[in-house]
Amino acid sequence: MFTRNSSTAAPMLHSIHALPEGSEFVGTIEAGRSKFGFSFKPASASIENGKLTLRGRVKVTPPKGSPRTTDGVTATLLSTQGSTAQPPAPPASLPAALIPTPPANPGVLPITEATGYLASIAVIYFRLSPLSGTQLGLPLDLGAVQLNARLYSDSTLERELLWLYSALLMATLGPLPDAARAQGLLAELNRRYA
Amino acid sequence: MQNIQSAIRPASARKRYDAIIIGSGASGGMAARELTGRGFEVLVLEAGPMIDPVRDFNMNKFAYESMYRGFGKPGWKQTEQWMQDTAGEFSSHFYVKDTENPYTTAPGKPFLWVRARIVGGKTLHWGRLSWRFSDLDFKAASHDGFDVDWPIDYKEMAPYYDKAENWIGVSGNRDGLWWQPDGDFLPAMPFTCGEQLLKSATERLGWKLIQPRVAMLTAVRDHHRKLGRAQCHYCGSCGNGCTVGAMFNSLSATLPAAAATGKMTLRPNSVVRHITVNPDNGQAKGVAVVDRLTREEIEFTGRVIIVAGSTLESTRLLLNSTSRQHPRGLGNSSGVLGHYLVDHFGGTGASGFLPMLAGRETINEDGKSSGIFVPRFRNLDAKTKQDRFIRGYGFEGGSSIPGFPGVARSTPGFGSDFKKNVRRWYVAPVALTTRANMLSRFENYVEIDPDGVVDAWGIPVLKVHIQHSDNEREMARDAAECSTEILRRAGAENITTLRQMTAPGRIIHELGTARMGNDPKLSVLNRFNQSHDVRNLFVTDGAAFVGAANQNPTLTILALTIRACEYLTDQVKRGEI
Repeated sequence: MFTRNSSTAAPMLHSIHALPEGSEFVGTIEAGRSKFGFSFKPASASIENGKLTLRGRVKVTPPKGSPRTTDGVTATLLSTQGSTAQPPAPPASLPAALIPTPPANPGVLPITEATGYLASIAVIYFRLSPLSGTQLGLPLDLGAVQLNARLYSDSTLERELLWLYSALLMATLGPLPDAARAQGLLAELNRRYA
Repeated sequence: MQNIQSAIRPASARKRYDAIIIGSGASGGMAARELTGRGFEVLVLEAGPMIDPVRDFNMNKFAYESMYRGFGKPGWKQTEQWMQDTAGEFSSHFYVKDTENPYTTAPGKPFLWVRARIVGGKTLHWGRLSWRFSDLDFKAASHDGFDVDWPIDYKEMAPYYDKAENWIGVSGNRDGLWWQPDGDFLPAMPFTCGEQLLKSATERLGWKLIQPRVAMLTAVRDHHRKLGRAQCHYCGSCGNGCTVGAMFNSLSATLPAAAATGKMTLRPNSVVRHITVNPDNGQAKGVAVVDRLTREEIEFTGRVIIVAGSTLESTRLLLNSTSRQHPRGLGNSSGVLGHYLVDHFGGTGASGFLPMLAGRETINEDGKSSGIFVPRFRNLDAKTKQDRFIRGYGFEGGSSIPGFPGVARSTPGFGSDFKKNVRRWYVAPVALTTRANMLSRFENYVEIDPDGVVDAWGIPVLKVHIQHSDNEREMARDAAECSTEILRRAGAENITTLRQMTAPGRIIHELGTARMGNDPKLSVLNRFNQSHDVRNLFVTDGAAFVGAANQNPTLTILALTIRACEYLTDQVKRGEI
C-alpha cells in the first residue's frame, strides 16, 4: 500500500503483506493497475543489536516478463504482533534445552489465553534495507518499505518456523531474555534456511 | 431504513465546518445527529467505505446457501482478518483487513483488536446489550479505594441515559436493582424454558437473573417509525446486518436523522492522519486526511473537532497529532493519554446440558438474540464484600436450541445411535460466560510504536501493552466457581467449567486511554469530554472512560456523547469556543 506525496515523485510503498511459503515470505504489490509478485527468501538469520535480522533475496515478478531480483537484502525486526491462537507444537527434532517447560505448578488462579508458555507471534514487522524500485522494475519508491510477515502456517516446515520465530523473539524480547537459548534457536532457524 | 446517500457529497477544503466528526459509529453517529439537530453544519469523516444495506447486509442468508456453510474459504480469516474475531463469511466486509491495519504488542502480551472501518462502524455488528452504569461504577473508588472516581455521577447522567435509550430503542424489564438502574424500556424478550430454569436456580442462590436489555425494537415508537425502522422479526442474524433497522446502528438511526437535516456532509474513505493545530494558540484547526482509495492528501478545517473513531483509534490519532504546542500528542500535557487501557474479560464460565429438556420437540429458539443476564452480585455492600478481589462481574448466557447442533462435535459414536444422541442433547444446552471488570491501571497503555511500524497509508501504528492482574485472576476463579454452581443448582449434567480468561481485547470493550477527570494533571478530558488543553477538541467515545465497570459500554458512550454535544453547543453560543 502506498501514498503519493506529489504528482511528480514515485508513489511511496509503505508496506508489503506476505505469508510464508516454506521458508520464503510471499505476497503481491499493487502499482497502479498492475499486480507484481513479491518474495523474500531468507538465507541467514542473526541477532544484531538485540534484534532478529534476516538476510536474503528479494524477487519481484511483473505481470508480464521476467522476474528481477536483489540479493543481500536485510530485513531488520521492527516489532511484532502477539497471536491469540494456539501455538503449534515444538519441532520434533529440537534439543530439549531449547523447549521451554510449562510451569510444573501453574497455580490455582486462571491464566489468560495465549500468554506465558501459550504465547506465540502472529506477525513480524521488518524494515527491508533500502530497495530500488527501478532495479526491481517497480514504479514505486521502496526507500522505507516494511515487510509485514504474517506467520500463518499450513505445512510442517512453516509450523516449525512459526514456533522457532516465536521462541526466538520471546528469548530476545520477552520478559525473561535468555541469550544462550536464543543462540540455539538461531542455529535451528539457519538450519532450516539452508 | 432511510437512505443517507444525500449526505455523501464532495467535502470542501475551503469551507470551515461548524464541527468535524471523526468516525461514524455509535458516538460519531450520535454526535452528527445531535449537532445537526442543533443547527451545526458538520462534516463526518469515516475511514472506511460506504455501505449499501440492500447489497451488503446478509441478514437473510443462510449458511447452506454458501459452499463454505458460513465459515468462508479455508484460511481466509487467518490470512486477511486474523484479529477480527467475530467476523464471519457473511459479515467480513464490516471489519478491517489486518493486512492493511497493523498494530504491535510486546511478546507474550497479546491484544485482540477488532475494528470496523466502515460507515456505521462497529454498530453494524455490535452485541446490542445496553446497560446503564450506576454510582457503584461512577463512584467505584469511593466504594473500594482503588484509582479515582469518575467526575460525574448517576444523577446527572440519568437524563442522558433516558434520551439515548428512548432514541435507539432498548427492550428490557424494570427490575428495580439500584446498581443496575432501570429506564423506559420496550417490552423485554421472554425467557426460553431453559432460561426459566436458570433463573430459578440463580435466585435460590440469592442472586438475580434478568432479561438482557438490548437495543432492538420489540415495539416501534413514532420516532423509530419516522426513520423507517421496523420491529424485530427474530431472524437471529443481527451480526450480518439488520436490513429492517430493528437493531440500532448508526446507519438505521442516527446518520439518517442527521442526513435529513441537510446539514451533514458524510465523506467515506477518509483516513485521518492527524489533527492540525493553529500555530498561534495551539487550538485545533482541522484535520489532515489521506483518501483511502486515491491516496490523495487533503485538509479540512472546523470550529470544533469531535474525535469518535473508537477508543484506540481516537487515542492513536491524538498521539499522532504532535506539534510544537503539543509535543507529546494533542491534549496530552498530563502525560496520561494512552494510559489506563482496559477491556472486560470473559472466558471463564460453565456449560452443560439440562436433562429435563433432553429429547424434547425441536422448536424455533435461535431467533431470539437475547439470553439471560446475571447482574453483578459481588462487592455491592458489606454483606457481599469479597476478601480476594474488588469490583465485580456479571454472567451472560442462555439456554436455547441452536441453529447448528454444535454438540455433534463432542458426541462420540456414529450411525443412528450418534444421530439419536445428537438429537437428544442439542435441544438442551445451557451456558454462562463472564463479563468482568478489569481494573484501570496506568501500566496498561498504548503508545505510538517506538520502532516505526506504519499502516498501509504510512501512518504510525499503536503498540499495545496490557495484561491482567491478580485481581482479575481472583475474580475469574470466583466466576468459574459461581457459574458452575448455578448450573449445578439448575440440575445441569455434563458440566464443563471454563477456567481460561480471554486475552485483552477479545470482548471488544476496549476503554480508557483518554480518561476524563477534574484534575488536568491527571486526566485528558474534563467532565464534558472536552480536552483540558484544547477547548475546541472533544473525545466522545470509549477513550473517555475512567473505569470499565462490568456492563457493556455503548449506552454510556451514547449518553456521554449527547451530553458533550449539549455542552459544546452552549459553549459555542457563549463564544467560549
